Amino acid sequence: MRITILSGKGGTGKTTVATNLALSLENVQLLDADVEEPNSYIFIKPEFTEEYEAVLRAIPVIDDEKCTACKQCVDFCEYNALALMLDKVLVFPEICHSCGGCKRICPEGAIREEDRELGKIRSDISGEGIDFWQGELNIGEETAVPVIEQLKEHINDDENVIIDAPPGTTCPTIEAVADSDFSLLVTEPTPFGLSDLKMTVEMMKEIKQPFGVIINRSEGDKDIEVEDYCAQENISVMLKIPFDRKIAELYSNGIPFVQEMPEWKEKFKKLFDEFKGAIK
Amino acid sequence: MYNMKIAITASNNDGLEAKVDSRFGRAPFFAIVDIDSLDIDFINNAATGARGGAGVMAAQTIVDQKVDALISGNFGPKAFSGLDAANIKLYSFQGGTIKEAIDSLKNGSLKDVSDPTNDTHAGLR
Repeated sequence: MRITILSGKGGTGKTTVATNLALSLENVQLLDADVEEPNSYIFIKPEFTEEYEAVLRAIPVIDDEKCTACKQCVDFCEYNALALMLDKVLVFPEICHSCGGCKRICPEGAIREEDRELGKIRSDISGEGIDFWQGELNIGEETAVPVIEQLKEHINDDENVIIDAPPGTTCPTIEAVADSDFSLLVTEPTPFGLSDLKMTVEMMKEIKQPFGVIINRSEGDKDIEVEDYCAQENISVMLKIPFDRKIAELYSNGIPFVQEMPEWKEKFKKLFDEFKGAIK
Repeated sequence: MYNMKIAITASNNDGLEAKVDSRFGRAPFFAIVDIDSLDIDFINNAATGARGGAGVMAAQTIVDQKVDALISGNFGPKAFSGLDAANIKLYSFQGGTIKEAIDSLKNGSLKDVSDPTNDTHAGLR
C-alpha cells in the first residue's frame, strides 16, 4: 500500500503528517521525496553514514577538435542546454535533461556523454524501526525528477509505504505521487492554502488517483472556506490537526507530536484504516 | 567613432522611445541598433515562453545577431557565461528608453557588467 502526502503550498504540514503517520503505524517504509529540501529526517532521526547511492546523469561533452560548429545540436535541444558561442559549443549541465538527442544528431560524432552526480539517496532503519529513505538533489542542480525516480526504485510494497512529496503541482510532485494507492492533500485554512489546494485537486483529478484532505493548523470558523470547497467538490476532510501551541512547540524542537500526545497515534491509525477502506 | 551594432532588451517595439526591459532572458523584444545612424530593428525574443534555459536561448539569439554589445537590466549566471564566451560587451541600464540607454552608452556613464547580476530564474519572478 502506497500513500503519498502532498500539498500545493509549501509549509502547510506535509512532513508533519508524513512523519506522525509513519510513527503511528507498524511495518512502515517512509520515503522523503521532497528532494530539494528533505526534512523528514529531523523528526525520524536516522543515523546516516557518509555512504550514499549516487544518482547519475549522462551529460554531453563536446570534442572541440571534431566539432564543426554546424549548430544542429543547439537547434535540437528542447531545453536550451547547449549554445554555440563563436565557434564553440557550450554545455549548461544543470538544465540538460539527459535525453541523448544531441549525441545522436551530431553528424561529426563530436559528442560523447559523461556521468555527472545529480543527487544522493541515503537510507537507514530508524530507532523506531522505520525503513527510512531520503532523496537529495545536489546544490545548484535543477532537475529533481531523476532523483525521485531512483528513490522510488527502492519501494518495498510488503511494507506500508509513505511518500513525503515535494510541494507544488509540477513534474517532481507528479513523479512522487504516480502509482500511489491513496494520497492525502494537506492544506491550511488560509487564502493561499485554499488556492493551492484547488490546484492540487485539479492535478489529482487529471491523474485520476483517489485522495482525501487534511486541514493542518485547523481553527474553528477559519476552516469554513476550505470545508465549503471540499463539500462542493465532494472531497472528504479526513482529519484536522488543530492550531495548537503544544504541537507547534514540539515541532520546533524536532519532536513528532504523536510521541508526546499518544491519543494522536490512535487518530492516525483510524485514518489509515479509513483510506484502506476507501481503496477497496 | 563607435561604428557598432548593439542589442538592447525592450518591453515594447515603439522605436527609440521603447522602454528598456530590465530582464534579459524573458524580455519580449531585442532592439538591434546601429549606434551611428540610430537605425533600429526589433526582433522577437523566442525565449520569453521557454520552459527553461531562457537565458541560454536568448544569449544564442543575441550572438547570432553578431552585435558588439548588449544593454539590459540584469544578466543571470547562464546567460552571462554564454555572452561572455562570445566576447559580447555587457552593460547594465535600468528604467528608461532605448534612446536614453544609447545616450548613456555614448557619454560613458553606463556600467560594464563583469559578473552575473542576478540569480537563476529571476526573470520569472
